[in-house]
Amino acid sequence: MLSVLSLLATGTAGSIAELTLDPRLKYWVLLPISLVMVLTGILRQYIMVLIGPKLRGQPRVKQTESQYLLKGQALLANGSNLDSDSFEIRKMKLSQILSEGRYVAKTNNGSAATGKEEMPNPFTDPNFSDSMMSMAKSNLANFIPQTLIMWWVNHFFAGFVLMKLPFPLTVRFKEMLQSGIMTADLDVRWVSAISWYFISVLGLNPVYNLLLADSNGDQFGLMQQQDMMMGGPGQPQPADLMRGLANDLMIVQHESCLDNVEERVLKLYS
Amino acid sequence: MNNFEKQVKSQSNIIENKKRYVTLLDKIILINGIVSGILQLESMSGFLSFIAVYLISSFLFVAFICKFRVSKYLENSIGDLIFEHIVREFLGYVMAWTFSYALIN
Amino acid sequence: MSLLSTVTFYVSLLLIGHAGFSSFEFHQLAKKINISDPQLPRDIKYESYLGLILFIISAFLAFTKLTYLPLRYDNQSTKQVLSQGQYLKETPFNKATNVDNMIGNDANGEVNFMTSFIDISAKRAQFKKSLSN
Repeated sequence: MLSVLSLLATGTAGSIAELTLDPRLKYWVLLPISLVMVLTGILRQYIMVLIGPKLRGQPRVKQTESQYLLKGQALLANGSNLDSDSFEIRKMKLSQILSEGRYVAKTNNGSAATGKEEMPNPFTDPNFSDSMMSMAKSNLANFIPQTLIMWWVNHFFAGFVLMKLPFPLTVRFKEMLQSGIMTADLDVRWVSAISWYFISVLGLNPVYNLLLADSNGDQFGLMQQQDMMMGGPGQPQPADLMRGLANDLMIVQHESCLDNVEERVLKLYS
Repeated sequence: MNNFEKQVKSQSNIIENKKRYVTLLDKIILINGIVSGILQLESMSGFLSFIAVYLISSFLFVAFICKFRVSKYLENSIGDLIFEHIVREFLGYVMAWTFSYALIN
Repeated sequence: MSLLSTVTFYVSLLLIGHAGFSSFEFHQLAKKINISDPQLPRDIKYESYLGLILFIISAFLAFTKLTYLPLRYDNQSTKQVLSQGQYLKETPFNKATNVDNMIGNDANGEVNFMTSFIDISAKRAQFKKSLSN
């Protein structure tokens, strides 16, 4: 009986025909859709926490490998804080170690794990497939509820006008927002349930932000994931990275942060 | 010498400050949408109300919370204060506006 | 949230709720007696504006100055809660570390507090003293 729509074309104020909608439409369509959308968002947040990427241990050789890469990058970035002698010493030592590839992780049979001749299969490498899985899972967790709700709205609440939008739209939206309503001349401001679905999908972010605990941890999780991705297929191999870093270290010009420091301090505090 | 004159910023503090700002805006803009729906504002006046409240609240934020020293707390003032969140807040406003407009009418 | 902010918050919600209900009743009535293009009465408008303004004020009052708990008490300071009198955290790195210094958070703690760097006997003496107190 929800689809009963009492059409009452009064004297048209302006060009917009006034419809009188059954007030029960608000209580049995508008509110349930909003409630379901909000609750689904909350549920999705908690599911994402549950299926999120777990911290995984790495073999020690892998750790050493990535730590040496980080060490080289740190020297490049922060070397200006050292005096030139100690910078030179570190530069020589690190570039020698890195160009030799002394700390490239090796597998048990002695060959470099990531040699060019044997490209590792991406689906057998546990780290890589793990991060792929977590990405796929988070995509699914976003995608499935949206599809389900859209299907639900389209199936149960189709074929009637739900509400009037407070702002005018162009005729191009008619197809999308008035799907299932067989009136050719109805103003685009009168829309069906699916358009309320679209509006809430787009606009619920502030509501989630107020309802849910802050998700500052996300950035950290992302960093972890990127760290694990290093050395996967498609990524440059650690041995090559090390060689490149060694070259960078060889050619870098040392400039101390104490050069002209008086000038800069005077400028800063003048 | 340019790279020594640039100030190093604490990224985690910037993120926290932005988070507090966005939460403030979210609250105000959602209530603003509901009030617009109650007043049955239509098309242009509704959008103007959004712009007015948005600008007023970011100005009040600069005045009372930052004490007019925005660069101390945010990275690039105008971009972070206004343009970064305007789309998100606008969509939230439209949702709250449409919702209360439809409930009341 | 301070008390003032909480009070303003609930008052504003009450105002907005009441204005919403009045507006709803008004439009129902206008539809029943067939007024096209009804104008809201002035008191409802003012009530909702007031509600919005009060809500904005309460949202700003809800900002509290950031406070920190000191990590160490050995400087015999009487203050239990430290504050810089700011609502946000400062972003320049040299200022951002001031908080760490103030509350006694050692930025190099992950090295300095490793067992090889701690004076174990001094710690034990301290512990014994605190037990006997």
